[in-house]
Amino acid sequence: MGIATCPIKGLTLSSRSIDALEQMDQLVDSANQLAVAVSTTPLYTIFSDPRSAKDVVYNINDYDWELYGQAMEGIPNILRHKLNQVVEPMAWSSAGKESQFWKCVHASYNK
Amino acid sequence: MPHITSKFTLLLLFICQSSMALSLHDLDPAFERCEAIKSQHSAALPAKSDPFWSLEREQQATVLIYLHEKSMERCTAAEVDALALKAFHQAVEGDRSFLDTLIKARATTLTSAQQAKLQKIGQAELERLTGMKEFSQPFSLSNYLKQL
Repeated sequence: MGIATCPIKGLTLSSRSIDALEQMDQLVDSANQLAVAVSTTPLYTIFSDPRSAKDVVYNINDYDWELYGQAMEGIPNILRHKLNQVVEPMAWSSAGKESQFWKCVHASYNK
Repeated sequence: MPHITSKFTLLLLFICQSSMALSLHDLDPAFERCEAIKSQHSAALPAKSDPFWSLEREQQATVLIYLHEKSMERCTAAEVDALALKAFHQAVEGDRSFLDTLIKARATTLTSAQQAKLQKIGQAELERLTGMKEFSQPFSLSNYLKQL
């Protein structure tokens, strides 16, 4: 899936997703990593403070993914591999918009 | 004179090497090499007669995540160990910041719930699976999960 197909309207994240996002945050300090990108993107909130993303409805646009992808571009491959270990099973085990969200996360930093 | 020059060059090289900052990016080529292996072989899970298929679906997924982690660890072991040795020397010299970074980066992504699932399956079974040709080389986790 390319980034161009990643707009998601009305996304809410389950507890499982929140846990996975926290795991990702431990691997790469998202707040720091995304600081270079515009902090108004909803992805900034989702990744830098996963707990606050619970029960919030998000609309994510292609541009947000583009920024996220750019911010993650420089991460070392060992961390990219570790992130994939969290993200790929989430994309597989979730459904609907949540699954789409995880597929888009994966696509954005594996360009 | 040429002898002195070459000694001086060697000394300079040594100083440059020892003062070069260690980075997780030093492992990028190793991970690139192992990622490339994934696309070189077809994704095939064990035969349907294998005990792997008697596990619950969630357990199968957890086993695949574990085996995926192990296969990449094996593939990158030489480079990771070499970097760990440099990080250790740096730590002995008083700077253990990179050693901590490397330890954190190498930590498993398996959650405690997933590790409990693996414990139920047992070490012997995990070792048997690790030794199978289907899991001996790095594989695409997504492609394997799709086959469950």
